[in-house]
Amino acid sequence: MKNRGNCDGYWEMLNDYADGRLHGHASEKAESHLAECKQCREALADIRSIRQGLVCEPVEKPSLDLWEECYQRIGEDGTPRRVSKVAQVWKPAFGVAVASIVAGLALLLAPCGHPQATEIPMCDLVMQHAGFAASQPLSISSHHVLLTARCMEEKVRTDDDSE
Amino acid sequence: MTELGDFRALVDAYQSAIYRVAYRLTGGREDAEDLVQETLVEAYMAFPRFKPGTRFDQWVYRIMTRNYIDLYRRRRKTETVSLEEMTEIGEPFEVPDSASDPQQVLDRGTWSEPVQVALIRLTPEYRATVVLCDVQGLSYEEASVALRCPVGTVRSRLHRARAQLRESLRPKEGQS
Repeated sequence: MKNRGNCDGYWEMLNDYADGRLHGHASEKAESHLAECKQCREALADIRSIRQGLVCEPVEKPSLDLWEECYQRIGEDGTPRRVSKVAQVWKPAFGVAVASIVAGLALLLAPCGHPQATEIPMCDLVMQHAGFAASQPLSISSHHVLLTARCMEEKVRTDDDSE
Repeated sequence: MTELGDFRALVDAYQSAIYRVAYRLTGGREDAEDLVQETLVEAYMAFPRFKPGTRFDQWVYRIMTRNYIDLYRRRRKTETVSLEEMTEIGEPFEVPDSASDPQQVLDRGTWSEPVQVALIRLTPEYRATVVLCDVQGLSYEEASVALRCPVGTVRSRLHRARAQLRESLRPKEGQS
């Protein structure tokens, strides 16, 4: 791009020189050109003046309670998002284990053609396989398994009726 | 010390710098304060991922510049502002006729208007680059991390932004 008042092609060099990114031969070349070119000296002065202005120009002071308001808001909104290593590893593993158990039970309790097996309600089969006596109170996990078995039993009955 | 306490200690150490960057980006106190609040809330939520011993201020600048650029893009969809006339390829744009004294024209260090006013006319990406490099003194490499762009992009944006600022701040030809 053209920069009016600069030698064509020297703008990049001047910026690099102003930022202290030229070394050795490149720096010497820039200084040699600047010694001979008034336009580039003015351009370099402009770059430095702009930087100085950006640093030194006054900034309107913030409200006195800006930072306390920030911390209050953090207290309301900001809770650090923590991802524990336990959750990262064991949650998926637990999920897989539960799914495997349910799938295994489903396969186990699927109608296998034995009249005796189909006559036995699934719920009782589940209870037998789970080793629970009828009178024994159910834990939450075994209750869930029982509900799954009941749903499957209902489905089997529905399928049989529709055939 | 609690986590919030650690966070506060770091923020307190860089308060003025954080606000200054927000002010240079937005150009006004109220917008700067909004930007600071949004940034610090997000920074606190991400604080567990901050690596102790690294530059906290530069980590905050990264969040702030991203928030600012995203906010600008959202606003631009709903508002019509004169900044839309600016392009990233650095074409010169018309500067409103200021009441500058012609005798001050070539006085280096005295521009036709405050640098901050010209700064706001830059695109958000250019403005963020200038603020980080020229206001906060970040190197190209540090700015590239904060802005999530290559070092070469930082360099080219910075050079073009300075060219635009220079063009904007110099009085028009014929006024000297």
